[in-house]
Formats: sequence, structure tokens, C-alpha cells
Amino acid sequence: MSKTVTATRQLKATPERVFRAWTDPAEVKRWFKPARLIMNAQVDGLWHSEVEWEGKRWPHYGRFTRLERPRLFEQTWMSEATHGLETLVRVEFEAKGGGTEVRLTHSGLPEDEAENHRKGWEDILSSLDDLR
Amino acid sequence: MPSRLDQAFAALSDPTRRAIVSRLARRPARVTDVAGRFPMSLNAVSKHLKVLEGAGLIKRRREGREHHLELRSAPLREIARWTLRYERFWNEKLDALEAFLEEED
Repeated sequence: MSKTVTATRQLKATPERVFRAWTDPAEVKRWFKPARLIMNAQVDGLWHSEVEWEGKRWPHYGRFTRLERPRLFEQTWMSEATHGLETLVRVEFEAKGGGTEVRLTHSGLPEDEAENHRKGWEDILSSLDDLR
Repeated sequence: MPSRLDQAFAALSDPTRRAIVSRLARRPARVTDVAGRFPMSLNAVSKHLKVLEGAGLIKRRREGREHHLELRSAPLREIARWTLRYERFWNEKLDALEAFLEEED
């Protein structure tokens, strides 16, 4: 069984503006701040990004599967955290209250198994050691 | 929404507290043993221990006059779970997007 993570935010900008912030590589660099970004925002276009997070560099990659400007886009998303599985990130933009409501749905995330729990736990402990 | 997870992250944002957690991850210890490892007063160490206890990261057990400390792994396991990490990741990114769009106008 897989898991889904959602996040929403009310933003003070038009859906068109917010859609551009997510799909124009020059814009994405300014707020997502990837260490590296390659992005071809069209259906079947590929993307690759490397994100610095928790003191580590995480490579992510995938493919755009839907782009319906300025309403939504979808991309597949793979990383170490998905255990190589193809997960799906959908971002929807709805005009609301003079701005835009963003709804992000990240689905298909692998269920944490006991083994992964332990692995994550060990990783955390070893990073705690490194920090000392 | 300040959750137990937020408390755990806040508690771990301090290097002394991370060092205490790391020490207790190896084996439980007495308060005096833990305090002896840090170049600060027992009182200062106690304050750090209270923060860790408040976040549910450590548990204190009294045996007579001695206080024993041990790690509670549940909050740390929660931090380690990928789904929760992704939830945190996306919320941080949306915060960054919000700030970016607000800077602009």
C-alpha cells in the first residue's frame, strides 16, 4: 500500500503567475533553490533537480505527465526517498480570495516498512554523530 | 500546527542537545554522567534535558537519588519516516514560494 502527502497554501498572486513560478526553470531556481536544475516543462519533458536538504544533496528526477496552464500540472518524481519507485506530484492552482490556492498532492510514496524505519533511525543517529 | 514532530525538531536544533541525544543513543546514562561531558554548569545541562523531555525525546527514571536518562525512539522514528519528511519538505518549499511571490510585489 502506498501513501499520499498533501500540502496547501493560499498565495497572493494569480494562478497564471504561480503556475509560471513552478514551470519556468528560471523562476523555479529563484524559490525552490535547487543546487542543480534541468527542466523541460512540456508533456513527456524530463526534469532533474538536486536539492540541498537536511545537510545532504538529494537528486530527484522525473517526467511531466500533464500541463494545463494555469490550472494544474503533474510530474513523476523519483528519488532515494521513493526507493526508485515512480511517484506522482500533482500541483493544482485555483483562483480564490483574490489570490491562488495551491494544492499539492504527492502520491504513490512507498509505505515505510520496519526495515526502512530502522535504516532512517540509523541514518539520523549517524548524522547526529557527525554534527558533534 | 505545532506538533510533537515540530517540538522534536526544535529540540534537536541545538548542538548540545543533539550531542546529549547521540550520547544516550548508545546507552542510557545518569544525569551526572551526561552533565560531566559538557563544559557547562549542571544547571545549564538540566535546562537542555528539560527541553528534550518536553519534546518526548528522552525519559527520566529516578532510582533513589539518582536520575537515569534514556532515549525514547518514537519521535526520532517519526522524523525518519519518509512520508513525514516529504510533508515537511513540501511545506518548506511552499513557504519559500510564498516568500518569493510576496517579495515581488
